[in-house]
Amino acid sequence: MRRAAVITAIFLLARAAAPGAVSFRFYGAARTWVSSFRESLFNPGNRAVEFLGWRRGPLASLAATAEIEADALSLHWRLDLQGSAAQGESGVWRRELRIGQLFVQKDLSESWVLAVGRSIQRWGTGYVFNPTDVAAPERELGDPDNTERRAVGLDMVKLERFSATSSLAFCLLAGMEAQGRWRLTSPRLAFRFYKNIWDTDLSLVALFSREETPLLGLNVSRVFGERLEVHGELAAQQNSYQLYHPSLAESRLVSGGGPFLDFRRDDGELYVQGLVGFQYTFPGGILWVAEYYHRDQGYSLSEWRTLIGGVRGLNDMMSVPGGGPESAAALQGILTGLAAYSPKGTLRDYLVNYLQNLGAGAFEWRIGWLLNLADMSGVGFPEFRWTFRNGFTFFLRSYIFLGRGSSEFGAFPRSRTLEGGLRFRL
Amino acid sequence: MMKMIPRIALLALLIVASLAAAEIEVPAAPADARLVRIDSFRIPDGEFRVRTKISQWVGETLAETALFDVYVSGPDKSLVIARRYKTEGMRLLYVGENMWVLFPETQRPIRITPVQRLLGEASNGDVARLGLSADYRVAEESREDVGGVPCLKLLLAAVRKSSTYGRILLFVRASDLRPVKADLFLISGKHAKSAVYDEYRSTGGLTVLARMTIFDRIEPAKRTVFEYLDIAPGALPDKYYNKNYLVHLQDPDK
Repeated sequence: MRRAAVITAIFLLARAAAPGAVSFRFYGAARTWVSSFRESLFNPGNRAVEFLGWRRGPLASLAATAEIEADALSLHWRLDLQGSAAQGESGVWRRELRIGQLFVQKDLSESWVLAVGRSIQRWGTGYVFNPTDVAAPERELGDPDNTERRAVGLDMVKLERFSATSSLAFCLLAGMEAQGRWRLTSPRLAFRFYKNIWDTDLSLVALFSREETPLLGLNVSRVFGERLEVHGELAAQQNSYQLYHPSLAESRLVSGGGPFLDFRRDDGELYVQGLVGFQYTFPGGILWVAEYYHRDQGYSLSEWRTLIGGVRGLNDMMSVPGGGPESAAALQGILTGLAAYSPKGTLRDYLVNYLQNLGAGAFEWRIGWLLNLADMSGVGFPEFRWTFRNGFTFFLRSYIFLGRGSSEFGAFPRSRTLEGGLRFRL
Repeated sequence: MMKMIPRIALLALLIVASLAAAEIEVPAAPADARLVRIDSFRIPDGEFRVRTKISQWVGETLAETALFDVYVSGPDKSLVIARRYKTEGMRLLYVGENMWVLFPETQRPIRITPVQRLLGEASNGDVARLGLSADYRVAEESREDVGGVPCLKLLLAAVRKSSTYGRILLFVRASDLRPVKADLFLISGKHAKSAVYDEYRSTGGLTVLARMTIFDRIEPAKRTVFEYLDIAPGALPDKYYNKNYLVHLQDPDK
């Protein structure tokens, strides 16, 4: 927080010291939400929820983002400062001040542009999943467009050359860490070549780092006819760098920690992620976005069943009358399994859809759902918005987890969340 | 083998998409000299910026106003920056058959389809595309008086997939080809809007359109008034017309 305040002060002083244009935008959101929990394989007897201290609610959060852009000292400056006070799942308030973006940009010539600092570089063509977004944070399922400005960029030096129909970008991505002296952490080099060819957007993407094998990818987007846009992304990398639950340990897996630690896969296999999707506008302005997403890194159905089988065993241990140390250990095992969950799915094949009305004036709605194609469980996320005056929008959103008891979303302890709030722009 | 199926399907779909992208484009026919003359009332030669105020009326109530800067480079490139709008800071880029939009809260320009160009209080296509000669050809021609003024009645047919409308029935003064009014039809054939070219003014020795009103045929109570407040010369480097530059676009007016 102190670092963010210092950087903001420097930014404002630099701005004050030099003449030039400055623009200031302020966004805020106040939210409250309630959740429903259920007894499930990962929450036997509601013990997991009780242990974690998850509360039904209502819980609340306040968030504000100041976006400042300025042209000073022959540079273009951009700062997104995000402040929030939010209750966690256990109801404890937490205050945070983050720098979402902070970069300076210099247009070196008519073609070359240099940007240094923290920024979000979205290179993918997908609306929800982006395997080729190697220089940006993950999108949120319920807010993929970052309307609530929670996304935090990556620290980078970016050099890009533009022509009328193509561009070539190099990004050196790294964090800074002070341990006695400042040093770069996890440096990575990202590369993108973009070309608009035959009215199709085509990008080739690569990511190189010391810790991982190179990731290579491509993405495309093209409009067909009056109403249809089709897009796709493909990324491939040798080995998987995702963490896996220890119950999936096999002899071919050579790295990882002890028996109770998650591990990665260094098996030399090629792991592919890809998506194909489209957006279609119906008469009346209803937009339909659909994407099929596959990733080899996810759990196969048999691996998921192995995990669930282990969790069933832990459930049996907990059901023994008297409880005791074995029961406590079983609960710890279940919580370890719960950590396997990822907000946008843990398995391999997903279909995401959303329908929304475009340009409908004050009232807008969106209905989205994510479907696990292996076990047909899913999560729905309907949202309604009412813009009652320019810049002020009420919203009501829900997440509904559906599926059989042993399915991915059916086994999750949470069954529903309903949240409402106000977003505003000043 | 099962593991390979999704990969093969994804690769096949991407290859199909790429092949579809490689359709042979038919070179555009030279623009009709009359349409070039008609365009001269809206877009002077070269590169320039038009400041456009848009007022949305519902009946006699002013529902909303918006202000856009439209930067134009030749007949098929334009960049729109929303100065005052509910999505202030929105950027629209139109290059040939391609159109992208970047909303201020997002960091990714997204492609929009021709029909999405018609959405919004002021249709994106109406704001961004000022000329006719690059997008239409004269399919039929006749004569008809409008308000006692002898006019040419031109049926314009779209020559590009990206044209905002499928057909336009345009009435221009026979004496100097100055636009008087137009009926605008979607590609489906539906008569969507009618336009009246209300007011012209002289600037730099040229007569240019100062005000146009578009009447919504589907919702007759709605009308949109376009006021072209200022036309100033202004050339932008090529990178401004690259969709990836939209994210880091330096405001050309600052």
